[in-house]
Amino acid sequence: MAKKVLALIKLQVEAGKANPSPPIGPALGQHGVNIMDFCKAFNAKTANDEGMIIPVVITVYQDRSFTFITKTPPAAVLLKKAAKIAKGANDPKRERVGKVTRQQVQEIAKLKMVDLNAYNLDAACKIIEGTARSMGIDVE
Amino acid sequence: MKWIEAKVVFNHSDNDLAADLIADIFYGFDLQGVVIEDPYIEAGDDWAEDAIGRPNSHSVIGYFPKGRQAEENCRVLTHKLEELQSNLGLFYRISYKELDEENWAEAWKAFFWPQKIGRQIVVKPTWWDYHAKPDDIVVELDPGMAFGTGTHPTTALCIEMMETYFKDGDTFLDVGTGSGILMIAAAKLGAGAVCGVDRDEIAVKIAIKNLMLNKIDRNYFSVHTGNLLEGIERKYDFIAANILTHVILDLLDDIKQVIKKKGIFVCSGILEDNADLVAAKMKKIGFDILESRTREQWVAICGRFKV
Repeated sequence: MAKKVLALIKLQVEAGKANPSPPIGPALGQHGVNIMDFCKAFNAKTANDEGMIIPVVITVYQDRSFTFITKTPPAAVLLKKAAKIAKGANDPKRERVGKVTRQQVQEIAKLKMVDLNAYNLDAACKIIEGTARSMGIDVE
Repeated sequence: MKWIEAKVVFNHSDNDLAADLIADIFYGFDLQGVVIEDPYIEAGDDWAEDAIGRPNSHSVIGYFPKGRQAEENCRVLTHKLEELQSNLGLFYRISYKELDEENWAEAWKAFFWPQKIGRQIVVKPTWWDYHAKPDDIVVELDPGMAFGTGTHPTTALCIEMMETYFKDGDTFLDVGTGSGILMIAAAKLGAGAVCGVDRDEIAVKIAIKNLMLNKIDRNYFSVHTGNLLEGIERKYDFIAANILTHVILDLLDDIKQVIKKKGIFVCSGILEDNADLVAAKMKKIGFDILESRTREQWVAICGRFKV
């Protein structure tokens, strides 16, 4: 018989650096999950993505065992990396903090396609461009 | 240690975008991660009757260590959210809660039971009673916040291979010892002497505590803080490393200096995709691969040093 789900936990965690501090500790500990076992598994799976923020969805079962799937890094994180900036604009309507090329947008869209709610690459690019605008990053 | 939980409940026409941008504010405070609550999240299996279920609303949750900096962070967070409200039309509400680290650090212990691993080794959490059978080798453990409870396949595979290949009187080195579970298992399997190294000072303290708890003679073991083989000056009959692939690959560069002729090396913590890479490097530097075992995508490899 399939195990029954107790909780679904969605986190964003730095690749390869999971540890029992927040957000992992409180998010998993309250459901009785062995925090260190998760950290080990997550760090192994994301060892090659150092420096990236990785979204992860953890399924906790009634017996407190767990499985997890990792997703592509958030668009905002990828855009900041592409634009080589540390943070987005405080006031994106007036302030421009960086720029990315259409090719960079397309590369991000391709990477994110699997997780985006988009029918094709053009639609995915539009979503990424929207995120860029919201951060004060120009697309040229 | 106390923490401030800052929860931002929000609503926007594009909630994924809003979650990204709110999370990005938290990353501006050097947080290593956030919790994202999504009311539309789908479970792959059926929900249990006592399931917590989906959250009622979208939110992003970040945590600050309690103190003056947390107060400043909360002030900046409010300011940045006001900007998102005026620029993006985001609706939001912030709530704060104080959390004690002990609350979550201890919570999982209720679900960590005595468990038999391999043929003889039984890992028994200190807070449970266990009536040992005649052949049981009981390892008492309070892993605290160190790696290695025995419940994870990587540790279990290591212990199983130790049961198979460990010989009475072998000297034992554990690289990345964590809770000390493998050192204790080796001692109880009849090791001549056991040594452990871990780069995490807290893990070293926990390992010593667990060794003492298992009544392993203080003159019989040594544990110290160091990176990989740092501080290891002798050669061992049996070496275990339950860490991660890239660290094992680094360790293999220097392993010749610490392994005896015909010595055994067990490495674990390797994802299936990386197993060939590790096995190839082991062969290249002079190991005969004796066995590899796989469980839940994790692989452990055992080799004998030919030289």
